[in-house]
Amino acid sequence: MIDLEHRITETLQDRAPVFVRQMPKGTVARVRIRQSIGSFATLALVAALAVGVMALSSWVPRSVQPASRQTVQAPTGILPSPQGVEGGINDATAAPASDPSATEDTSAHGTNSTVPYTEQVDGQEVYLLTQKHVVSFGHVSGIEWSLAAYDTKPYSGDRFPRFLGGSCGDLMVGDQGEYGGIGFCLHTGETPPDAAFAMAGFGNASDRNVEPIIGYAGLVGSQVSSVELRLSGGETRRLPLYDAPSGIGARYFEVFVAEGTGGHIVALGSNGAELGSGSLCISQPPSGPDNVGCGHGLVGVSSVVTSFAEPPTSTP
Amino acid sequence: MGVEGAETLEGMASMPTSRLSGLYEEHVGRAVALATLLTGDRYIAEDIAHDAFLRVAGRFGELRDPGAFGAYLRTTVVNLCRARVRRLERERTLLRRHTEAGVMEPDTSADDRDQVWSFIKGLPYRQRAALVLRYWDDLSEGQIGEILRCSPRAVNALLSRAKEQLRDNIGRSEG
Repeated sequence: MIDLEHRITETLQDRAPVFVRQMPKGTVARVRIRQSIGSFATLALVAALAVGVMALSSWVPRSVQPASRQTVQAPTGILPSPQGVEGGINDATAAPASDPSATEDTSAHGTNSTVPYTEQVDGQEVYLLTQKHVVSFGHVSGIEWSLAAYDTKPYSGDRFPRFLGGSCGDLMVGDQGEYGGIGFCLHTGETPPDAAFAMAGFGNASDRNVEPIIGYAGLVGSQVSSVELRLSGGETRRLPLYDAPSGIGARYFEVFVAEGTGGHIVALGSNGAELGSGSLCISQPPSGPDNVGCGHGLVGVSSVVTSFAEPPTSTP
Repeated sequence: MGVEGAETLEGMASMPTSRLSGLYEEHVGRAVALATLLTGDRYIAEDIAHDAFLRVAGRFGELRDPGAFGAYLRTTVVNLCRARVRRLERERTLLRRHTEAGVMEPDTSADDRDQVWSFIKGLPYRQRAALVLRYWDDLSEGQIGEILRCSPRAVNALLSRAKEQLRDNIGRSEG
């Protein structure tokens, strides 16, 4: 064994060359280049990490912020009406009164987030007596909604739903009504000509990013003094009534509820007598693009909008 | 690998050319010798040693112990030689497939006067590296393990298998 190791050592020493040479020209420059590349790579890595951390920090707080630190009340159970704080994810604001005798606006147009949306359809003047006036607007699950009031004349053509005339309203959801909505009237085929109360329900579950939207809206005549939401669990809540501009003889209400909520909305006279009622008729809207509507005051359901046409360009 | 830690190499980025030259002359000669023993080719060894010097000097600021320049250089040489040997082996395999005779005997040419050297060159790379580092560079099994990234026990096994192979080969050749 010792002999073998000795032979190995001698062989290796014998074969190992003796190398004595000065550093070749250009070596210093190549070393400097490598150092520069290394420094640049380090800086690039640090910058990339910094950008990554910034991106992460801008995302993490929203996803991990405890509920107690939420700046806006999260939607749970019945959403109050007005729904929370103005400007929050669930709120309602009464719109300022406007003049119903103003010039009719029947052109279709979009809005931005600062202007409540109203459904405007070409040719709607065949049943409209007034403009559509926003009486209330707000947010549900962070999505804008608007409640509009208008007066109608009888219409029975095939271009629009049948109107018997009288006060009507629209509850539209979405900055540009993209979630759809419902139209409702005081006088429909399912309500008597002298009805003091009518309501309709709207359900939408087209957006996977938000909870299903279930809302009810209606209108009451002058004989009604208050409207109450009576939940099947026994809770009762008075709903605010929004005045319409003069010329539209009704007051309006709306409320958004959580999925699975049951109960009634009841109209009461000044003496407490029940003048009309309607059930919360939507428990769970079907997922997908099809909206649902219900209620004896329902006139029509606006569908989900999946694309918007370019606005017409005005020609000089 | 010469005198390790003999100099403090801090601030190589601003190091005068003369000092860089001194490091080269101090370490590269032994690096060439090591690479020659690992690859069996003096000219390839010079390329590898020079490349290793550039690499280690180029990332001098990142070294945990700048004083151990020689140790870093040795490890780099061993790694570069391994890569080179692997490439050569692939090329030889490819060449063997395309050679009609299919003959690619171990390198026992007339230039290899020393039979032991030819047998050492025929060892697998890790065994050869362990042998060279142990009997030429006089490193401990622990130091060799750090370079080859294995335990001292594994180094001991490598050395045992290498010597056993050499003993068999020498025994057969000497009748």
